[in-house]
Amino acid sequence: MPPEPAHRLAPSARWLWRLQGLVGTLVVLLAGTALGGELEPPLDSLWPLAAVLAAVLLCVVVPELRWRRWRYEVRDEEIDIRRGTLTVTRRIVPMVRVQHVDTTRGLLEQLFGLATVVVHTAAGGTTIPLLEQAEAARVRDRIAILSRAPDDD
Amino acid sequence: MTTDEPAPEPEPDPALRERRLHPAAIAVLALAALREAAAPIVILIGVSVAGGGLEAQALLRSLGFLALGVVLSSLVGLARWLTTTYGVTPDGIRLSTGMLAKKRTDVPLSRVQGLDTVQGPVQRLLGVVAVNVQTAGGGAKGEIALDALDPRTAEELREAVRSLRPELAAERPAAPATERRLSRPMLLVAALTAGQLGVILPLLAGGSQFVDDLLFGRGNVGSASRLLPDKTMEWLLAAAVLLAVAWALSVAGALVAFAGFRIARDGERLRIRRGLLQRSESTVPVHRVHGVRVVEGLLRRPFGLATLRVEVVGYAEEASAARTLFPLLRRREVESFLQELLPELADDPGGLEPPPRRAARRYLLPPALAGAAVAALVCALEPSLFPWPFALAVLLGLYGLGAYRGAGWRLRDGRLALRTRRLSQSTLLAPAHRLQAHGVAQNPLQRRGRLADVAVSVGAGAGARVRHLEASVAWELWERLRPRGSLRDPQPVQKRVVGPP
Repeated sequence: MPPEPAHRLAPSARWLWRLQGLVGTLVVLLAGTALGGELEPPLDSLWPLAAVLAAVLLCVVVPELRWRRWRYEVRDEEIDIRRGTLTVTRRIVPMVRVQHVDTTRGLLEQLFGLATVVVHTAAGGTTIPLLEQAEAARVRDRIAILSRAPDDD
Repeated sequence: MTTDEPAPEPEPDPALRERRLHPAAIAVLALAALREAAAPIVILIGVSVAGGGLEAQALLRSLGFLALGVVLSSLVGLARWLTTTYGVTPDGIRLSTGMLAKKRTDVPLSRVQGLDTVQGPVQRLLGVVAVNVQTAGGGAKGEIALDALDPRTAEELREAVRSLRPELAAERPAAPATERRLSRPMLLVAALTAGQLGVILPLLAGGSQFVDDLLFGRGNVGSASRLLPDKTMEWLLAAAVLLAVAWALSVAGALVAFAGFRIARDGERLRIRRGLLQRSESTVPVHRVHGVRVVEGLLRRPFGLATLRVEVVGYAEEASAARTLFPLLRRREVESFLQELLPELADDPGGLEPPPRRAARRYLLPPALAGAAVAALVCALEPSLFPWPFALAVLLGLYGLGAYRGAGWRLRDGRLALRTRRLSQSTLLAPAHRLQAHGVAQNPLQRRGRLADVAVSVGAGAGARVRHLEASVAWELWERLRPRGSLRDPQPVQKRVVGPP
């Protein structure tokens, strides 16, 4: 296996994911309180367990695992990305294929001072999410300089 | 018309600067208007027929509505023709339309990617052609559609565009060096085997035979018939009829789309002509073709037949018929066909490296288990059906086995070939330096089994993914596909200013 890409996402990305996981847990809790009483006897007392499981998975395990797996590196000729929680994908986007690149900031991202870099090729967008804003701007500008994709090739 | 503005070289024919479409456009535009108004007219006629007391009177009234619709559409057609002008200037092609709200479209010549000539039934009847000005992202009809031009004018237009942009080379081929046509028998075979529906039909026939046995007790499962609602047979019949109609439509669709199919290589572009009612001619610049796909449908594979498709950058919106490089040819002829017409991408679709033998169960088990789970569920609900639902598990297992036997890869001289099989088998042939992205993926089970998936994307987002290759092989492939050294584009990109990595 080739050496890993050098850079990680911002450490605070984990907190953003944990926050999102919390929302998921709340959904399970709500569903449990609404429907828990209706279930058959052995199951009706088990739903709090499901909520705890969801909380542990979504707020602790998944964010940590995802953050550890997520790595990227921008080289002269290519963008190298490794990502995934269970299935780990290692992807190469050649610089000559990059048509343009921009950064976006969602509401939550602004709250955490983060930004997402979106790299566009003819085949669609590839994202490097949740970087520190300054870092995202650096990555974007560097990719913009390195990419010289001919419009129609 | 003013001619005193600065005239940069070269200047097109001044007559082309501002002119109307051929008068035949009135008919074309009127028909388009009639088509737009078809729904209200049909509703009006329907209402008058349904609500009218006396039959003859109702008929007369609907005829009146129809005549009114035709007259109004003709007037609209005339008005649209009167208010539509187009022109070619050194800056580009211009079209203005609209009576009240004026709309003007300017396409700079630098953005023109081709002039497609189309001849629909109306145009053919009136001896005119429609010209679509193709641009990137302009949609199937092009950014500017000129509905009716004299063929000579269309030629002048091409000429004018060519004189301003010689590299566009949209000239008529004097004598195309290479041309291939689809023969009539092959067209018929292509139509009959078009679409996956052709597969479902015999399956359905078998299925209905089975249900027949089940319902009418020719087997020993007569008791099951009482469990099925009476309407089941009717539903099955309706479904069968629907499928038969869909199949007939797909056959007719293929006949119409691919009749008279011919492809010619003309310098740096491919010219494809096809169509029965709607004759269309499209031009694909060779440098936009980033991959070729050899597709062998379930009905075609046993006979060694395949369709060739192209993966093109910048034509994402086009219908699949427009992406067809050739509707039907023998699989063993694929390489020589490509050598002749598209040597840039020619490769042998056969002789690929298969995944390791130990990967077979990973292809086979997931679909088979899913089928078994569904079958178990069905049997739990309807025990009398046991063991028939488990045929699903066997079928899906066979599908998985097919997926394993169809999978393969090769990277030779910078040319990548990836083959996958679902119902149909598809082989992607693409130069490695033209890939949009590539990757290797591993799930936990694959990590334990030292296997990995290889995926690439090419052209406007289509791709291929070969599952469960030897992990070391997948990573070696990943490494070799990276943009560097020998895999670089033939024309190296200019030196860039770069900081330290």
